[in-house]
Amino acid sequence: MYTVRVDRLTKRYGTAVVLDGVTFEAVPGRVTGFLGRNGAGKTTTLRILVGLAAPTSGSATIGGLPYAEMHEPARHVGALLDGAGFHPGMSARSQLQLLAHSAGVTDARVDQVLALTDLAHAADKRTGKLSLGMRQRLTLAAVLLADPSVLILDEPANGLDPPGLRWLRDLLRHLADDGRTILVSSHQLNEVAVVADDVVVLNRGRVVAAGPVAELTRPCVYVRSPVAADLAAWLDRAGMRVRRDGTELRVLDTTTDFIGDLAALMAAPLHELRLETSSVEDLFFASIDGRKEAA
Amino acid sequence: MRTKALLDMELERAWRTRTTWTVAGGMLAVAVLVAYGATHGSAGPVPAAQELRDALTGVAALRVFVMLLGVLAVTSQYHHGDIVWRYLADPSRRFFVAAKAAASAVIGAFLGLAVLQVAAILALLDAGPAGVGGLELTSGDLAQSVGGTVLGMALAGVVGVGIGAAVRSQTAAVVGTLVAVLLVEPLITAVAPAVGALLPSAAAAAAAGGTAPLGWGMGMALTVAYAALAATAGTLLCARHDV
Repeated sequence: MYTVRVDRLTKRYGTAVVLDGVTFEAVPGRVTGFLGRNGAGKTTTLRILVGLAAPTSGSATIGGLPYAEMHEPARHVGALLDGAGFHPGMSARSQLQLLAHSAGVTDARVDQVLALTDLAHAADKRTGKLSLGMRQRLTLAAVLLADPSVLILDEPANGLDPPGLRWLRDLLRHLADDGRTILVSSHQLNEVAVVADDVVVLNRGRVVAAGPVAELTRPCVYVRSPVAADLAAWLDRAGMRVRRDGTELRVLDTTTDFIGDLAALMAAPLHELRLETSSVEDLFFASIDGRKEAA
Repeated sequence: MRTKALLDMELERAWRTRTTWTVAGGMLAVAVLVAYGATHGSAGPVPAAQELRDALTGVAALRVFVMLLGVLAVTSQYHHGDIVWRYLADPSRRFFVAAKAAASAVIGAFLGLAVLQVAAILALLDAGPAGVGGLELTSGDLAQSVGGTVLGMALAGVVGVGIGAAVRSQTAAVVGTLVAVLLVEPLITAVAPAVGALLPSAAAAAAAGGTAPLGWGMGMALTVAYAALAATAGTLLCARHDV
């Protein structure tokens, strides 16, 4: 099993800094969602990971090795990348057979992935005649050909219809549960929320949030008080996890009742006290607005 | 093992791609016309051996088709985006260009033999039984001519791959190749024949035993040098660019 590791990755095109010290990991057995708005640097990161682009500095490794130094990398890593296409004159089956032979995979597996991606009926159609959704399924079929241990997927949901989205979600969950490493970039936050175990949020070439979804979206108690510093110090001494921003506190693993009672005991005035819940979408927008720092 | 696997992959891709068959078919059709012209175009009586030679050297000029196949072998992958799959299978740009060049050379040599056969068949049909009897098919210079044509075709594929890898844009590479071979080289040859004699087409024609000013040996040497130069430039420029 392979861990995907990106370490202080920087990429510059002329004076434009596309990636600026990006660091994160995607580990086996978990789906890692890679989020960011258009132009944040997600695709560049993934392209560097599979050796299609060279980093300016830093490293991107799979199982401890750069992709280009892996032995028969296509047998271990399945990658779906923006811009990957097919020769329009070749049939879907012919294209997959060509890719299969280059990865040392048998023609029987081609038929398996065609069936798995619900493309068996279109196997002999030229790829240029396939619909957007069918082409995306063909791309996924190509990714799955060698039954890889690592999947690196750039916007895999593009073009899929609702049943296709559900199929993809279930597939990713199944593959991760099977111990594979899944790194999936997406702008469809709800899709990621349903399937991802961990998320990495990239904004303007920097990681602005990273960690387990359950941790990052854990409910917390929001407190606003003119004596927030004193409250924070007291809660900190009590071993609670507190984040202070001026007169605002966010306290994890507690209840509004507890904080309210504590404030009453301390005679500390509270101007606001409420339970704050968070979703992946909230996390995303909070992160790219700069209100939440990298974990 | 890796080299053979990559060569097999490139040959299989060429085999499965319609463009290969379209260009090859076009080349054979033009070869028929060229060979027919060489055997029937003479005003007066021409010895059968001379007609055969004219037909063989005439089809050698069709190397531009092989060059285009080499260009398309690389640029069509960039154009259609299946270059991504190719580099995922093996990320080495050096091996990519080497495998493409080797595959294009094999295809070029095969097509070279095919058009030579077309030329020979038409020349022999035209000569008839009496003419055939007078041919000296084992003569050394004829063997040189055939060998030069086949090698020239193979190396034209290598040159095409080098151009494709260096330029990568399909339109620019195809148009550039055609302009260079069909316009720029003849123009330079017309203005400065001494310089024109050293250009790729003239060198290939000399290697094929044509009437070019260069000798067979110099023609072969220059043809090999141009192929090496194109492959090296293609590898270096290809490696410098992200996909």
